[in-house]
Amino acid sequence: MTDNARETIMRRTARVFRDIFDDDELEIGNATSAADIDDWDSLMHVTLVVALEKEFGIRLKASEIGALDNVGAMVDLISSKLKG
Amino acid sequence: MGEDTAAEAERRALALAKEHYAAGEFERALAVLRGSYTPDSDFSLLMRAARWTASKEWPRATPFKIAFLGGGVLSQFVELIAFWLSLYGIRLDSYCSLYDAWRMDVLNGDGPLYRFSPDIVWFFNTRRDARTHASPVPAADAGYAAESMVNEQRKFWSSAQSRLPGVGVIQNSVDPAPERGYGNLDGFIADGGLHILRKYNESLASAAADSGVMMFDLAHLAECVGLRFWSDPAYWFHSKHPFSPGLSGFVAYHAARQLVAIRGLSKKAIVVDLDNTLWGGVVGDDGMDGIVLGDGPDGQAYQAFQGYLKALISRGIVLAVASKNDERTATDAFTNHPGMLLDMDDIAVFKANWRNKADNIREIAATLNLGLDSFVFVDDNPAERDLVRRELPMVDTIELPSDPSGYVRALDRMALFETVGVSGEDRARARMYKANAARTIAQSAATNLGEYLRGLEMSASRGTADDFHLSRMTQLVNKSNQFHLTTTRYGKAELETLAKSPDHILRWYSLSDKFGDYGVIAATVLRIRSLAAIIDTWAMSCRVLERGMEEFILRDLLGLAAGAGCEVLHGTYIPSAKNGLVADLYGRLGFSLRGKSDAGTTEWELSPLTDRGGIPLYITSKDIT
Repeated sequence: MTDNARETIMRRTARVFRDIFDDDELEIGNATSAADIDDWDSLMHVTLVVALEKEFGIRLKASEIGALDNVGAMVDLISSKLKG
Repeated sequence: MGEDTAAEAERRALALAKEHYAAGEFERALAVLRGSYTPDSDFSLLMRAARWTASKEWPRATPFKIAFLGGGVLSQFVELIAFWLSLYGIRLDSYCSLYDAWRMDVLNGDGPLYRFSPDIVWFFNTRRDARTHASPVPAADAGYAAESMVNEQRKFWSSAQSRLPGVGVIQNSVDPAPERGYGNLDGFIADGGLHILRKYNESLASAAADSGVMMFDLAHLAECVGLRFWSDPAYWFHSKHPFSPGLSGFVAYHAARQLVAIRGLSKKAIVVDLDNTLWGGVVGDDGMDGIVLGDGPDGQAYQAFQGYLKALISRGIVLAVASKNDERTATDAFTNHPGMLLDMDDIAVFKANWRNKADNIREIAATLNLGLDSFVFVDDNPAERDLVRRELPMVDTIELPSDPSGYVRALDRMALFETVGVSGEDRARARMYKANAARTIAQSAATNLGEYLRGLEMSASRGTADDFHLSRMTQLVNKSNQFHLTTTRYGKAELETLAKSPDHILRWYSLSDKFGDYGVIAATVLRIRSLAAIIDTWAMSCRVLERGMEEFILRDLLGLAAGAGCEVLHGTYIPSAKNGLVADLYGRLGFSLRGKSDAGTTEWELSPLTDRGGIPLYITSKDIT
């Protein structure tokens, strides 16, 4: 995937995060994980995944939903779904 | 409104609400959110608004303690129901059982549920909670499966009710699965999963009625969405979400509206506009003849919307009109247009003037002695909607799509009129049920058409074209398309002239039966030429087909022809794009075909003017007026 395409996905993912956490100042990067954001627990995780599925028009497998450890993994998964 | 613009509006609304809140304008902040967020709003933006709203203190909010008991994970649902409730000034304090522990929670008198001391215990069950008893079920026991499940639920209800005096108990109907073990027959075979589930829901509702428990129709919400969108196995397997978490806002909205009803805050009245809301077009410009109502796709859509409003009225919702129109023009169209389903009796307050709509609504509220927060406003004009939202934030102004086909849904989906039950005083609704039941009984008792028609107790009137009836006759002649033998289009003045002519006899006909009065439903023009009487015009409403009005009218025309000294009755059928229905009417009534033109026009003749006593007619005649 080109850097450009990945950057776009990251930008759109960041917007989803800012919406879900109601924080327009929130900055995320590949390494951002639940450890970095207080309210990112397992239930919030589902909210994030649902929001990302809607944003990108993709569907995650049951086993994929919980397997995303950080934002980088999310962006990778999103891009593979968009390609496929 | 495209999806993007709706999402943008939601974003702006939240930003605006935050500004209002920062300025201490709490009611304005909530009103802005109420005006933009709907059950179909964007999931992320709903969650965002919910998060912000939950983080703030709302000074006028009253608390409501609700325990949600069910086997699935409901966290997004609970966040969003809290959001919706806060828009109505209710602060949710919630308790959720942990997964399948809900049964223990209910039965454990010393446990956290009872320490929480809720106002409402909501059995937020979904189909997987009902599964334990349903499968596998030996066919012989299938009949008892539903009953035993209900009995268990009854124990849970009484456990809560006995330990929490005065608690309200709500019970979900459970959502069906889209998949069916027995395929198509799963809903009907004794041990079919769907059959058992439906029986369970039905028995549950009966038991609830006996136990003072309120039902919440989760099954219907699932069906509205579509079972395949509702059921999301991936999220069940991952985290035990019993339905697609993205639908949480939608479910929470409807749950909140039921709670709002329990708090007595449901809407009680609607103010509607006229032009392009109850009919197509602008009556002031187009005239009564030019508005679209009854015919064509839009005409039917507007009529359907009127029908929906009429149903709301019959269950006790108040309807008022606020229209920017000349009063006479508006009243005239409302009263006389044949396509109207609503009539003036349905309208509690009718305001047609050139004043500001917000002022009109204020006056309507004052006249009805109802708070402005009891009102819903429906208007096709976005500018009027904006004005009323700004001036009267406590009124719920609904969005209307540009297509009138969508009007009923636009109003219905907002679930603004939920109730806690049918009160003993709600006689209008009782009357409606009664009439329906009588109709059903009449239909099932009749073993043949004749008996059915006799059972309708029909009576008809007829009369001459006096001033009172001339408008209506003009409408029929000009609006009827299907049952119109010659598609004449006489204006009122022309009909007046014909009525005065010694060679013409004009008649109107009306019909009523034991269920109601259909009003004037047919108009005829008979021309006398020496020994021949010619049916120049015969227009009839399609609402009264195949009941015998055709025969009734023919007998009247025969009588008139004989009375004028004629010996033969002529009828013509001129085909149009829409009147194929009556191509063979004269044939069926016993006329002989005398001629046919290349264009398809047919000439018919009935002679001599025989007594038709042998033909059954179930319509009695009221006195000629």
